[in-house]
Formats: sequence, structure tokens, C-alpha cells
Amino acid sequence: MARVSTLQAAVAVAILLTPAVASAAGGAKRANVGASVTMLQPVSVSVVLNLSSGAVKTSGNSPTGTVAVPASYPVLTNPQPTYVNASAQNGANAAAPNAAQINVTGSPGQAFSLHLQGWTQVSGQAGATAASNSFYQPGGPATADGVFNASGRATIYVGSTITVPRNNPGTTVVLRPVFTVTYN
Amino acid sequence: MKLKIAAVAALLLAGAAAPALAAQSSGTVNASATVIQPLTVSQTTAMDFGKLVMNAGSPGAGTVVLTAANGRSTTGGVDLVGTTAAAGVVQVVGQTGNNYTVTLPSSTTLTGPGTAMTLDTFNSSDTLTPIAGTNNIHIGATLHVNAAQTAGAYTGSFVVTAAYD
Repeated sequence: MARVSTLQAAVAVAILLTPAVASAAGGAKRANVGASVTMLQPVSVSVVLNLSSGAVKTSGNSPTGTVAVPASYPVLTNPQPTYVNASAQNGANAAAPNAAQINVTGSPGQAFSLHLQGWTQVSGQAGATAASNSFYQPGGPATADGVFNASGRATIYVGSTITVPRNNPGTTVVLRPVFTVTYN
Repeated sequence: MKLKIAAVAALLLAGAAAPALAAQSSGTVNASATVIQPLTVSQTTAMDFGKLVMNAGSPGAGTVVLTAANGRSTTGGVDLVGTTAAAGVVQVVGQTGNNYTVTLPSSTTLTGPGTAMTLDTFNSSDTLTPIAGTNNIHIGATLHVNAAQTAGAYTGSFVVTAAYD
């Protein structure tokens, strides 16, 4: 009778514990949740060429003259620079106008924007300014927005209309672009 | 379940009934159990911190806080790029009327081409305990970006657990 009672108690304990064990093993559920982030390469910039009016002389008594340098010049022959109250100086040593060239590097395939803030005069007749900027990207849009190529590189040319204070003998105005580049 | 409890009752009664045979008394013990719907937990949206770049001026270590509402903010030498980011979302399904608790991890790591980044301070704007029925749990966290973190994609995962109370 004592042995039977012990057996009964053991079976009872085992049966009582079974539901609790099952609950602990099967009650808690879990899920793996993915997490990710993409770190982009820092953008680096270099000004390969400053904007230049080329050798230019203002006309007569005009207080200023202007040289409109297309963003694509001289990468593309046309359109040509245009002059108002000024003219290009000719001659073998006369400098030709050119747009500014900016090279940018970053993460391949990522979009970016160039924010042109202004121009700093490097040389030429003092007091020159530039306005009405334009942009050119070979094979890309004519805007300041671009996409880094597969090598993480991009080139943007920037043209502008340069206002040259009176200088009848002639001068060459050079302006450096002031800008930032950010990822979009 | 009913069978097990009935068996227990029978065994217990068998021992107790033996001395009472002379009295010939008997009784009825009712037993019942309710089997409830198992919990399920599944990811519906992976957590995505989006695109980041080290600050050009001060590329030191920094953090990115991703809220459960998909908002991002930074501290230190890391900048946000674009606006795309997503909090993690899991769907927990349980028996209506039965409370359960959702547990978030303390930390994990994201690995990629550079030094691994720690992901911690998991949080949610949703109630985690006690809850019942079907719930979508939106999860935010804080990402720790190392100084001069190497560019590239970093991935990892974390475990969300739910258990009946």
C-alpha cells in the first residue's frame, strides 16, 4: 500500500508539472527583426579651373562691360561667350574665357546638389562680379544637381555673366566659386 | 488537458478513498482547462536608419536616434542624408482577452565593412505590457556611429519576444 501510494504521488506530480513545462516552452514567442544603415563616403571637392573672363577690354566710357561665359565653354565650342560694352582682346597671348570646373567625389550612384554661394575674385580689374550662373555636366542635366558615377566621381562646370569695371587697355578677371556639395 | 487533470483527480481520490471504503461516501470534483491561441510574433518592417555621412568638419563619433515614429536626429560627428528611415515593426497576435508582455533587447550590433556599430536603447511608443489581441509594435533605437566610420552597408538583427503573462 505504501509503494502504491508513492507511485501514485509520483505520477500525480509528473502530470501536474507537465502543463507548466509546456507553457514555458511554448508560451514565449520571438521574432528576428532586421536592422540596417548605409554610411556614405564623405564628399570631397576640388576646383580644377576658376571662372575666367578671358582677356577683355571695356568699350569707350562705359563704366562696366560684361562677359557672359556659358557653363559648357570651352568644353563645347558653342555657344560662344558674348560681350556687352566690352570685347575680347585678340592676339596670340590673349587668354580665352572659360567656365569654372569643379570635380566632386562621393559614394557611387548617390545624388548630390552643388550649392553655389558666390564668387571670390582672384585677379583682374578690381571690383568684378558675377551673376546669372549656369551649370553644365557632360552627359548629365544642366543643373547643379548630379549623381556620382560608378567610380564615385562627378564634374560640374559653372558659367556666369561677369561684370568687369571699366578697363579700356584690357584685363583678365578670374573668379573662384564659393560653394558646398551635399548628398540629397 | 482535461484528461490529465481528470487523471490527477482520480489518482488523488484513489488514495484518499481507500480509508473511506467503510463509509462508502463519494463526491464529484469538476475539472476544466482552456487552451488559448498560441502567440505569434513576426516582423512586418525592418528597422532602417537610412543614409548617413560623417560630418566633413568634425567626423568624430556620434549617435543617431531613430524614434518609433520614424523620426531621426543626430549628435556628434554624423549627419543625416535624405529623409528615408523606418522604425522596426513587429506584429504580435495573441488570444483576445489574454494579456501578454513584449520584451525588447538591450543591444545588438550592425556589421559591415568597418568597425561594428552598437545599436541599443530600444524603445517603443506602443504599450508593451500588458496587452492583448493583435498589436503592431513600432520600435526605435539608438545607433552609435564610430569616429571616421567606414562607408558601406551595415546590417544586423535583434530579437523581440512576447509571452503570456
